[in-house]
Amino acid sequence: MKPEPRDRLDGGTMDDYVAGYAHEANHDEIGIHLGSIVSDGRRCFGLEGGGLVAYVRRAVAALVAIGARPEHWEPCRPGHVDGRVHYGADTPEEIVEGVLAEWIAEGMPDLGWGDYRFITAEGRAYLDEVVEAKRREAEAKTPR
Amino acid sequence: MSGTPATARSDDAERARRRLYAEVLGLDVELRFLRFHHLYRKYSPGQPRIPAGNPGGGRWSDGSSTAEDSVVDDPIADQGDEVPIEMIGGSGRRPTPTVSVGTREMVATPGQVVRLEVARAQARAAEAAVREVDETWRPRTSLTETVEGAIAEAEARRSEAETHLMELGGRYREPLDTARCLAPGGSRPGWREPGAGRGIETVDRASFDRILSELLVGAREIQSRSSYDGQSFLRSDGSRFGVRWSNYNGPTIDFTDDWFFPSWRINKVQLK
Repeated sequence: MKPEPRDRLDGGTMDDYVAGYAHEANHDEIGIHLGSIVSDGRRCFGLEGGGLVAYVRRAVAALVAIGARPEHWEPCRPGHVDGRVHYGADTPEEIVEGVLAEWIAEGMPDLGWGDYRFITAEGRAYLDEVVEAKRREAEAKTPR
Repeated sequence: MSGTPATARSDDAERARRRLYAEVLGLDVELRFLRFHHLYRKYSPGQPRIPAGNPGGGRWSDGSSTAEDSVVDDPIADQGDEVPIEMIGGSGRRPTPTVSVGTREMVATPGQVVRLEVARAQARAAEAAVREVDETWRPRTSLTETVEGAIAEAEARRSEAETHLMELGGRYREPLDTARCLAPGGSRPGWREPGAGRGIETVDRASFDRILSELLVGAREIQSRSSYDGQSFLRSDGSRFGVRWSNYNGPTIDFTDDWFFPSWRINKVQLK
């Protein structure tokens, strides 16, 4: 059996990386974005093609399993509201395969910081409150 | 007739009214945040409760053994008695944000923490630039007792330093590229916490302050994404970073790109 690849930086395993994504989503309200996972697959493990797809699928499945859900964070523009991305009935399988299908259809690109951010419900609730507080602080500083 | 003209009096009154309005709105923001934070803490599934059948059974506990002593009853009134971090849910959220103002630790909103971190880092950068041409120079210090006062004081220190720098004919040195800000001389600035994802660098206060001050030299603030709960900056090397208060990890610097080094990479810096 072919041994699992080790990363090029410090010899870490894929298991370690995937566990790290789940840890990050659970320990930071802004979660983790798909671009980071794709970048790790390419730059740390040297993956492309089917190997890269398998790695991304494994990582996304781990994130969805802990309750993290994908959002798009577009650059701020008037009237824009960041949004959850939905796939069918939003079962874990539909989310994983839906995200993978979109990314593959786009040609498996490296992704931006705001594309497919995986956020837990707890993280989203906190973000909503802090962003609202920030808006009100800005409003308070604006002379009437 | 002597005294202030009616129009000036009217302007003064209008300014006073605006100031008062801003203060009331600011207090409202703080109160809403504190309420939310305490409710959030209150409903943490990992926070222990006093067992049924005991005095105060079912109420939230701080985890100590004596039920009478450990009741966390009023979500606002227990401000001065923070629950230890490990008791706040299972995922290690931090308590309500606080900042050092003079000799005191004061409760702040996440937005205030970020503004203070940035203002102090910019002041340090300006003071360092002055000291390259005038080693003896020291900024005037002033006492302040509020978080907003501390932010204003840091902004005034920066302004004073920049004015003195101009008088001396000095200038900020060229900004370091982002990789050098993160790892001066190629040395790793911190460490990876057990279990943490790759790319998350935890650093001590001195390293955090140094990194943020270096990053801010020549950087300009840009509009943050709608959901980003901090301030975003564009550096002269084209890289972007953000500063925010993480509910789990405290002051945090996020990078939109990964920065690779021989045996590690960084896309986020968190203060231990």
